[in-house]
This record gives sequence, C-alpha cells and structure tokens, in this order.
Amino acid sequence: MGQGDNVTKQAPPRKLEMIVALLTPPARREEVLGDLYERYKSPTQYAADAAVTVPLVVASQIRRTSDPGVVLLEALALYFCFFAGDGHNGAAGFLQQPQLLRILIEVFSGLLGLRLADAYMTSRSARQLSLRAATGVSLACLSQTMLSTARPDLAISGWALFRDGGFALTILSLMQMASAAYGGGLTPAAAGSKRSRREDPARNKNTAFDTRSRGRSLWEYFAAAFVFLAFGLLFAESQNRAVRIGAALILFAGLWRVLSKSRTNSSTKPTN
Amino acid sequence: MEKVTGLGQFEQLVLTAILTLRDDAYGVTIHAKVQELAQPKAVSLGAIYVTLDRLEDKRYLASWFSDPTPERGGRAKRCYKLEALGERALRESAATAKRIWDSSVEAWGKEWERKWGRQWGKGTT
Repeated sequence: MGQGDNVTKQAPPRKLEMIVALLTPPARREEVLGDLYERYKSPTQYAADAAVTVPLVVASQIRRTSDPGVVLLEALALYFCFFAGDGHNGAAGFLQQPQLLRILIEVFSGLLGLRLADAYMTSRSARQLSLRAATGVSLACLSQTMLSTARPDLAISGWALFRDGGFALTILSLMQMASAAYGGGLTPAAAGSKRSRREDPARNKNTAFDTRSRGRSLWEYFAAAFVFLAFGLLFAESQNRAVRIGAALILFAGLWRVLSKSRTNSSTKPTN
Repeated sequence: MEKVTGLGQFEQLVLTAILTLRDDAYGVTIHAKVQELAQPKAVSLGAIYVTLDRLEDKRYLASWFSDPTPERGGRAKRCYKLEALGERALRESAATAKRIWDSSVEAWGKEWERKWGRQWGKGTT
C-alpha cells in the first residue's frame, strides 16, 4: 500500500467534511478544515472536534467583523421598524410591556442574523448585501413566529409581520447602501486587521474585502441621503413622540457613525 | 512606541508556544504545545483560534498561508510568527511572572521551592 493510499484512508468522510466546510466561515475555512483533517482519527472524533471548534471560530469571526457603532445603529433601526409597524400611539407605547419584550426579541434575533451574515460574507456585492439584510429580517420574523407559538398573547397578525419585515428589509438595505457611501462601516472587513489582510494574499483572495479599492456608486450616495432625509422628515414632522425619539436616535447614531468613520479613514490614508 | 496591553494567562501560553515552535507554528502544533504547557487543563482547538485572532488583531502576531500539503487534504496551513509588539508583551509578562516567583519563594521559603521543583519535574531557578 503506497503512501498516497494511506493518506486517502485517513481522510474524513467527504459528506462530513462538506458539512463542516459549509458551517465554517469562508475566511477561516482553509486553515480550520486543514487542521481538522490533520487531526483526523475517526469520523466520531472528527465530528466532535468540529462541533467544539466551529462555533468558536464563528464567534471569533463575529467579533472581528462587528463594530459597536454599526450594531447600535442597526439595533435602533430594527427597533424603530418593528415598533413603527406595531400601531402604538404615544410615547407610552415606546416602552409598553409586554410588547416591548416582543420587539426586543425581534431586534436581538435580527442583530444575530446580521452578525452571522457578516461572519459568512465573502464580498460586498449587491447580492450578498441583500442576502445579509434578508438573513437579519428573516431571523427576526422567525423569532416572532416562534414567540407567537410559545406566548399567544404576544402574537401579531401575519400581515403585520409581513409589513414590519418588509419595512425592516427596506431600511436595512438602504442603510447598507448608505454605509458604503460613508466608508463601508456597516459591513466591516471579514478577515480581521488591516495588517493581516495586507500580509495575507490568500485571505485577500478569499474575502476580497478592501472597500477602498471599490468606487462609490451614485446609488449609494442616494441611499445615504435618503436615509438621512427620511428620518430627518420623520423627526421634524411626526406628531408621535415615540416615532420622533426613534428617528432622532437613528439620525444621531448615523451622524456619529459618519463622523467617526471619516476620522478613521483620514487617519489611515497615509498607510494605504 | 506603541503601547502594550497586559496579556491574559491563555494569551501568554499561546505566545510562548509560537515563540518555541518558531517556523512550525500553526493551528495543530500550537494547540499541542499549549496543551503541554497548560497541563493538566484541557485546551480546545477552537479556543486557540479565538486567541490567535485576538492576538493578531492586537498586532502581536502576523500570519501567512503555507503551501497546501497532502496530509492536510491539499489545504494550506496558516502559520504564525511573533511580531515585535508581541515579543515585548511576552517579555513583560515573563518579567512579571519572575517577580511573582521570587516573591513567592521569599514568602513560602526554599523548602517550598524544592518541593515545587520535584512536583513539576523542572529544576528551580
């Protein structure tokens, strides 16, 4: 038996490896699958190894791709979308129990979906950005469906869920497009620090994430302007105090994001 | 000079493993070395990845991909090396550990030092 045969014999089952590959974020797939392959002893050991390793790799990738400012902005946007569609009137409704619990669960699930999508994204293409927003909203809607089963008093109608989800999808998509106009903040680099990306052509090839190499389209500037204009108008014109607070918070978080991003970009320019 | 933040115990172990492994520092070997250093605690491969990512983000480490090898199913290794900042952080940690050691010996006496040496199978400093 040749060495090649021996190597083939020690390989993990192809289907199992494919499942692990699918669950591992693309930016980390190469080394994680290689390391698991090298440690392979039996299918059970491989599965157990992967079950312990992959969740931590995903968590690490989420940490690397998450930006507190972005998370805050998206949390506010989701809260606003699900609250606005809820039919509450007045500031009292803004913090009204038990609907608050329902909205918070939706926001949390939506954020989880967005963070997971960030961890698995490989490019900033329009398709992947749409998929990202859809993942976040789908998870938020799914959580609502599950909550309705467990707590019927918190259930909302299918139409309301569809309307809220659609609103959230539109706002998140616009915010993502807008973010590209002010420096790509809503979809941070998948792979980690700039330094590691610079020194790592293979990872660069995998993720192709350098936002500065990509030109900003007119649509992205349009979306940015739309988001600010829409929430600005809501803030100025709405009679509902809760809606005004929500719009003001989103505007504030957005402006803060723009300012902090422009400062970061100007400070990193010389190294680029 | 860039500021060095304090290292956690696990970070110290990972940096020490990379320091000792030199050119052969990648996921599997780092895990084996950390496992050896952390005895009797068990260490998961996932925890190693998390720490490597964090240290890389802090610019204590640099990484690159090696050529793919058949024993890894044709996949490349992600190799790591210590950066100057990482070396400085490790040196500072080692100096702190030495001070802790000296103070402990001073407080608990030479007998404890000899006992410790016998228990862990290493010579005393």
